[in-house]
Amino acid sequence: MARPEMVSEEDIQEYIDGRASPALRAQVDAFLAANPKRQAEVQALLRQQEALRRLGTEILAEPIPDRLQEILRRIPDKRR
Amino acid sequence: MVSGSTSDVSVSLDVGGETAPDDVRRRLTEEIPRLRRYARVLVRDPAYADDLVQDCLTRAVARLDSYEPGTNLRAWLFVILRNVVINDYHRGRRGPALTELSEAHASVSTAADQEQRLMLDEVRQAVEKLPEEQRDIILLVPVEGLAYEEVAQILDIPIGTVRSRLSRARTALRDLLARGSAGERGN
Repeated sequence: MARPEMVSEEDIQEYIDGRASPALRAQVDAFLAANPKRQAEVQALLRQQEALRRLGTEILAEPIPDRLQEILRRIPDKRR
Repeated sequence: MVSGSTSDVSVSLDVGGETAPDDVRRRLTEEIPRLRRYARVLVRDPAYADDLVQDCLTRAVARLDSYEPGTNLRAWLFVILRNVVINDYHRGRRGPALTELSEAHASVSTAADQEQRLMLDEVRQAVEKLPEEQRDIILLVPVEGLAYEEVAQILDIPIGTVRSRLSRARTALRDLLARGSAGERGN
């Protein structure tokens, strides 16, 4: 049985952002399993993360307004 | 051939397929949806948000020569957009449209949709209440999904500061949300 090692606050941020390596993720999981209070906090932050990730996603699917496209047409065909 | 091109950096937008005008247009176009989302989550009013993006793109096109090919175009654009926001929005040239819920998406489909939208509105309102520094980091990391390195570049702060600010911002947001849902029962 692996002894859960201490993980840093920064490790936990990476974990929440889904940027932790598989090794780090396992380490954080083990740490949280051994620290129920911290686990509950991180669970709440993960739910919050999910909501933040969905914020404004409908905007990404909108067609780009013509007035914005228009600006890019001003880029000259020949640059120097 | 561009061997020994170390002194050609300033003109390298001219050479090669990758930096041809069409390619620059395409790459800029690809970034527009993210710029629009950032602006709209920040200011809510869709027309005003697009004004900010328009300003950003106008500046970007005018200064295309200052973009160094091979560097992060997205980070470069976000720096410009943030400058526009600081100069325009934060100066209150246009009143912040922060308080009302947007009715624009009120075409309700299902109860679950509606509940989710209410939840997202709650989250967005909480984000608005964060101190500016923390709101910045929340909009760039969890919302935009940018890498810590990119955000460090955009905000011009060390990566360690990105991490610590992120941690504080998440906790502050959680507290705001906890307070909000406790205080708004029965509304």
